[in-house]
Amino acid sequence: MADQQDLRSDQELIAAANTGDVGAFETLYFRYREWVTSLAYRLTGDHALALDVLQETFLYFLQKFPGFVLTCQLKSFLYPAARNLSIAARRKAHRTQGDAAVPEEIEAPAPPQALGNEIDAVICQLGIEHREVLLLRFVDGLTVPEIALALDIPEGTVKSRVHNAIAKLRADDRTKQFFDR
Amino acid sequence: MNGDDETIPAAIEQRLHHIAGATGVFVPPAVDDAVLSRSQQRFAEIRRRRAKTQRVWWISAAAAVIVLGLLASSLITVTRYERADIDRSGRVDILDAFALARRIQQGDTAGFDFNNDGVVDRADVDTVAAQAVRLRKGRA
Amino acid sequence: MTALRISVAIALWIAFAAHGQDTSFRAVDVYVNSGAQPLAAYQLTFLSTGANVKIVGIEGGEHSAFAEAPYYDPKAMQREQVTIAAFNTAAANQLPTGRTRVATIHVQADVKSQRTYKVEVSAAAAAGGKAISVQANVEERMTR
Repeated sequence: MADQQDLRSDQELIAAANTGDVGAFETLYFRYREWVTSLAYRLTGDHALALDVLQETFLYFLQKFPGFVLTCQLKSFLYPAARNLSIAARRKAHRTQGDAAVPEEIEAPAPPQALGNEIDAVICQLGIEHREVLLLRFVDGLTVPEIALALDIPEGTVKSRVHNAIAKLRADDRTKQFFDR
Repeated sequence: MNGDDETIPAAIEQRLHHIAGATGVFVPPAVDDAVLSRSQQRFAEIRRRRAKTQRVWWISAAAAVIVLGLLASSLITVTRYERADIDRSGRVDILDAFALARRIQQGDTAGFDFNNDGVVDRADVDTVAAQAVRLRKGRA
Repeated sequence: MTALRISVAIALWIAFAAHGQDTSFRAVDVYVNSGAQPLAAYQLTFLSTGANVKIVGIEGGEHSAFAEAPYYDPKAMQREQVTIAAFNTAAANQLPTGRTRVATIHVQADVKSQRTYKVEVSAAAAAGGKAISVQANVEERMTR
């Protein structure tokens, strides 16, 4: 059973899991469960789909053992898996609903009205590509190379998106005041 | 332009964190159980395979030890000194005949009947010396 | 000893008669230098090169300790190479020191052939059996 006080690093847990330590995998699951769920919800906009993506992402991760070698941050590995599963889940849901056209892009859910925060509104208006790189960079703490790996895009594109997202926040009347302080 | 160096104001970063965490998605235990039960099955299989591999490894290691032991014992047999190599120099030469001649003078003759005539005497010395100077195969 | 020398002479005469005047006989003296150490035993290999050079006889040396013919393989006769060896269990003061002719090897060769000789020491010992380091060389004499 996973020990919530397990302080082993991701690398140590993966090494243990490769030897058949189920507790190590459980620790990894609970360590990244909320993150994958949040990501899946951002990308699918639906609670049920997010839970499906959560389950599928970790079952996908489970199949990598034994012999899994972590060469980057675990988020860099899990992100594309969750993203692709989210896209697949969205497409399946649209087909099930009988939508004539399946959107090419995943639209993030609109921020809850109860938040009423102007900053949130500006962030949500950035667009999925710019918002995701900001979240990966400033919430998940991934570096530009790690983001490039997670999104499977060139590092230059990551830098460009980060720069342009910040530029938009700086230019918007509702958020530029925070840059002047 | 280096994306790693760019920063954002703390207030905006705080909202980013809020957006990331404000999914309101409750993960029911059933979802956890679905993942964890599959993981228990998978890792049980991994442990079974490791145990089998380790058994095979130990059996192979034991077999290798036995083979090496047999090989080593055969090598020891090959490198046993020739009987006429009295001074244990690794070869039979005139110094062995010389040593035997001195032993005969001193009365120490046990085990040195090289010509199998029942006695240890000059004839046995000559037998050793003849072996020392014998033409080797392959030489002209 | 006299009987040995007579037998060598007869062997040489027979060989000369068989091969005529196109061949010659050479006596090659083998010397061992043990320095200050009394030489009690030696073993060396003699090798000759040249057209039709063959070993036809082997004699003992000049010192009484090695006057008898050394040990050698009879199959080396009529060949270019032979290993000779000898020892003496006498006391150190009865053994030779310095440079000593320990043997003479008789070879038969074509009259006009270029001959070279080489000797390699493989073992030597002083009284009591202690291994020692010695130098060896050969010198050709003319015999007929």
